[in-house]
Amino acid sequence: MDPERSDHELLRAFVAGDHSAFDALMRKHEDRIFSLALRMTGDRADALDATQDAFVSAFRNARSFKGTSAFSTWLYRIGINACHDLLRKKGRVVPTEDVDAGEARGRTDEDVPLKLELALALQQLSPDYRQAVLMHDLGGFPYEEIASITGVQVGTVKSRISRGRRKLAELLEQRGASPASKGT
Amino acid sequence: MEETNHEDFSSRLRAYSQGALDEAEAAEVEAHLSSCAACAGELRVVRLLLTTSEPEMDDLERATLHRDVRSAVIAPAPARTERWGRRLAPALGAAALVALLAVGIVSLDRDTRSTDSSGAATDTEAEAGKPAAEPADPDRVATGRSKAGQTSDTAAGTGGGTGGDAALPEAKSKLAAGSTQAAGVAGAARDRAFVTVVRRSFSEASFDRRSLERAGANANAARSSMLYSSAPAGPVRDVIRRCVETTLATSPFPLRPALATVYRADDIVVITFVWNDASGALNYEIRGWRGGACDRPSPIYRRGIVR
Repeated sequence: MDPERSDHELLRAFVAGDHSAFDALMRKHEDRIFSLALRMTGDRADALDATQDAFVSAFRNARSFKGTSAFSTWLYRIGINACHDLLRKKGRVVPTEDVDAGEARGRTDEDVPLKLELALALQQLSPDYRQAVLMHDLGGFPYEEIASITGVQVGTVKSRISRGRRKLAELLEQRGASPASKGT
Repeated sequence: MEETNHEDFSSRLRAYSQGALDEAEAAEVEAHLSSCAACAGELRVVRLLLTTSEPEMDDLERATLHRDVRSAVIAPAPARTERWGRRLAPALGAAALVALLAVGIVSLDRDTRSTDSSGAATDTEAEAGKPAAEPADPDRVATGRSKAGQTSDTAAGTGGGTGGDAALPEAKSKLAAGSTQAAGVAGAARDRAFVTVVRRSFSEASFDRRSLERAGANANAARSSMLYSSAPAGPVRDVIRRCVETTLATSPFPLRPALATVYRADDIVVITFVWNDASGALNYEIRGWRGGACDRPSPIYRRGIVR
């Protein structure tokens, strides 16, 4: 596996039948997609499923990737959609977290409630807002890239992100789970 | 405060929270934050999104993910006919390797036909400067999703074959060699490459029946994995056994050797051990040796709980 190869090259190689490119692409992106899915679903098993769905969908549609945006952006959007689909399918409102499994992994569980609250609040956000907030704040994508991906003006992205965050803050506050309500 | 102004600050909050703004800009944002509850609320959310701890996938989850995605997008390769693990397979049913491990089938097989060749000739060349060869394994086939660890059927007793038949033609003394690591300029790079190979080995290990059947299928491959007990007799098996014994003698846990992977090109042996902790959970740990230096305990390169 050649670390020098760009995502585009790897994807082209994969489409051309080079299966080593598959592993390289997964290794490069799986953590970010999983992290996204974990935020969106609040549930580890669901996050794994959504991550799997996202990659399967991405690889199956590799040919349709035009390269107009970064592969990571494209994949991230697929990841968000996979989470939406999964949550819709499950029709589940309250995510559950396998706390035992979390502890077994050596994670502290103190951030679990907040994480759950965050996932819940995210699910209450409208999809447009949620996508914009996650792509920027969690995924680190610049406003311009989000704008071109979602086909809206940069100004719209700005306002979606800003409003989305405020809505999240409000929702968390209502749940008494504000991260640091003690002033700034 | 106008809305546009808000959004101007809003769009800088992520950068601000990461310390990516210059001093003047940061001061500007701070001044605004102190007087604007809405933006302060936004900042809290940004921080929350960025800082809530990120539990990564563990190795098994990663391995499962890779395998499942692979099986969905790449047509499985046809099964091979010659398998070291073959004599294990018939009695396994659909049991996952993990289930096998849990009942201790894969136990240290002391009834070995190979002679103890500790103190074998050393290979001082030790391939210093060998590049971090990718342990590519073209033989890996994809399998359907099967989360390991669910079953607990006791198919004990099937795993004892000493398996001397499947020869390891190229099992040269490199692997059996005593420990000599040429320290040199390439040492650091080699160390990194070593750790990479060992750590990666686990994500490449599979935990289901099909891969069990395939275990060690290709004796000539640069990398081959085998159930510990099905390793063919010979120098390689001997190295594996010595690595196992060293580990068992020094670990405080009741370890059982499970899977051995040999990277022939890299002269690396990786062994996965499992043990049950007090709560009954099945733990694994991965250790690796290179240059046949298995008379010293290896550090644990990965450990975790098999779910």
